[in-house]
Amino acid sequence: MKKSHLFILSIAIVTFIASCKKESTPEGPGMVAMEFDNRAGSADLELNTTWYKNANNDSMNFSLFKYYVSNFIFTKEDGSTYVVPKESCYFLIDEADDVSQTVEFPDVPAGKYTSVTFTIGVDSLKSTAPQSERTGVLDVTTHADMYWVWNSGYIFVKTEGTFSQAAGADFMYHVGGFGGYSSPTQNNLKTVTLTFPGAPVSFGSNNHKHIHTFVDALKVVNGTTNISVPTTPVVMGGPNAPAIANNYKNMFVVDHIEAE
Amino acid sequence: MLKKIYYIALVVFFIQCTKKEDAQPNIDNGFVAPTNFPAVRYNLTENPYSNEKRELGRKLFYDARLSRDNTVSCGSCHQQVASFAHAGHRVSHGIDNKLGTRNSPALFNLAWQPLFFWDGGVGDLDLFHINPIQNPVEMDETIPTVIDKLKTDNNYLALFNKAFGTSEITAIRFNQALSTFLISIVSNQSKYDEYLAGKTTLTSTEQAGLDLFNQKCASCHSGILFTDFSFRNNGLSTTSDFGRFRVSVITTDSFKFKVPSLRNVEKSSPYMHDGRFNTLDEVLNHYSNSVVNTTTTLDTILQRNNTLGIPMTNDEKTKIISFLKTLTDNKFLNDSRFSEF
Ligand code: HEC
Ligand code: HEC
Repeated sequence: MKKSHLFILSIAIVTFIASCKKESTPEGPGMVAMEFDNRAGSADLELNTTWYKNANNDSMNFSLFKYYVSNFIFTKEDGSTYVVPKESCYFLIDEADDVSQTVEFPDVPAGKYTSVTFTIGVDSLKSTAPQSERTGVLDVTTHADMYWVWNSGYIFVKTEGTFSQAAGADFMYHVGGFGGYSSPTQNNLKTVTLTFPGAPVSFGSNNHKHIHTFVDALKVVNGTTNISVPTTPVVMGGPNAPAIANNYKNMFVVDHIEAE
Repeated sequence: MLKKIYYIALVVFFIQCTKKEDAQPNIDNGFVAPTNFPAVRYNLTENPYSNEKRELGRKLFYDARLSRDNTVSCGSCHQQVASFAHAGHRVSHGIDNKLGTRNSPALFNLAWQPLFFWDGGVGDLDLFHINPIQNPVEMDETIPTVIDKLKTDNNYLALFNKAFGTSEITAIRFNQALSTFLISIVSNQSKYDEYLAGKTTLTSTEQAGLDLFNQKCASCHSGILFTDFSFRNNGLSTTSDFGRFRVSVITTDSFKFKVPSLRNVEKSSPYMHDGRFNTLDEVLNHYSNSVVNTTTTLDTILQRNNTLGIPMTNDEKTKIISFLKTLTDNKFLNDSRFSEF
């Protein structure tokens, strides 16, 4: 009788100590997933089937919407940051490929975070790196559609479609330009910071999170410079590219964050 | 006995000496830059040079399977007899008889070139090869498909094995082999080079041409490579090709094109980015008589003393052309290490 009491007691003590220990070890890093949910204004973006209106009241039907996002940095309440390691910070989001639309950061240190910062496009260091350092989404032989061969460099944001049922009414907006190798060229790299609704938000091993980001494709042509699609249906770099880059840098917004 | 050994030693010594000279440009024992050339730009650390890679690259360069319908090779537009330019073609002529918009430039001394294309749009030779292969008017093929084609060829499996240690065929290896071949194409054995080395003399006409060249042309076609690799407007009447502006989108770059080297220029007609001139006479007549200032970007060197162009008499032009011909490098034009067979 006594013996069994002692036994139970000792188990209780061990359990207590173990649970104490658990509570005193700091929370480990957690998974943060970031979803890029492509939209057109207030509606979900549907390729090929749906017509949308831009700020200029032009009709637009998208057939393609693809972009690079890279160099993610998460900022905590106290201003300190978690910089996602270089080897896993480049992503190509493609509206035609569901899997590409959620990117994962498996090792975000626990803490209270207020915002995420990232680059739209591929930074100049990577844009001039030797081919051995261009793997995965940066492999220019397998992702040749996102690389300009006539002006060495990645296409940062690419969208195409039609602006009227009439034949030949195609629009194509391709923007790239990292600043050039040994002689300067256009630089359309944009860095954006998105603050979290309800900040600060806890991340960590007990707080796996899913950041739901809305990306408004119409903001390629809407913004500081409202583009008339029929007047300027094609931009592939060149003089109009900076205006488009200044528009689309505002196309991202964190809609909500939920437990993963 | 001792005498005999001395003789043998002496003979061996001489043989070695002559061997060294014959091996110029020295591309058989690693990539050895000529001593009077500037620093190599190509990244040899990333892609170490070897004869095996060069051989594989040569095979690829002349292989029409790099094009969609297996009809066009790199060598179709870049012919050794023409200093690897496209003989007789104003603008390039590719697959399905489609025409490009620019003239195929001569190819040599690429290891020293910072940017490629007439407008400098390409910055890395290893990533260059995607250009012609994917261009719909050149070869209209994709690299992954080319790789698949090569994988079915046992010859290539063996060559990749020799060059890289395993027979795996990847895009990176493909590009590296082509680059190795391209950088191996060094031209530095013209009559002018021999003159610089003190091995021959120039005729009085050639010497007079050299002096005139230094006065009138060398500010742009400068140094041992005969180009400063800058982008300039040399006063051609303009077309819809905006040159460097297309890449940089800087207004002052409009109608500027890369200053081409003038080595082997005798062999690489037609001339200029659009191949508009067939002869060196026409080129010199352009500089003396038809430089136009239709844009604000005409090079200041070509509008000195309120005169457009470079004043030259016919006699001076003849002399300059005779000097330009001393830049022809027959060893390079006939070097079997660069040729198809
Ligand atoms: C259809 C003709 C054609 C074919 C085929 C072709 N080229 Fe070219 N090449 C050109 C033209 C035209 C240019 C100049 C383009 C420009 O400046 O816009 C050029 C430029 C180049 C240059 C840059 C030279 C410089 O001085 O800037 C290199 C290097 C080159 N080609 C290598 C190759 C290789 C390697 C292949 C095969 C994979 C190839 N070319 C196939 C026509 C061709
Ligand atoms: C202001 C700089 C400048 C000067 C001075 C100059 N050139 Fe040029 N040259 C160029 C540029 C730039 C090009 C290419 C232009 C183009 O294709 O649009 C060129 C092209 C050429 C070509 C054509 C080469 C080819 O492969 O197509 C020849 C030949 C030539 N120059 C010879 C000369 C001679 C000879 C002189 C002196 C009488 C001279 N140049 C003076 C800048 C210059």
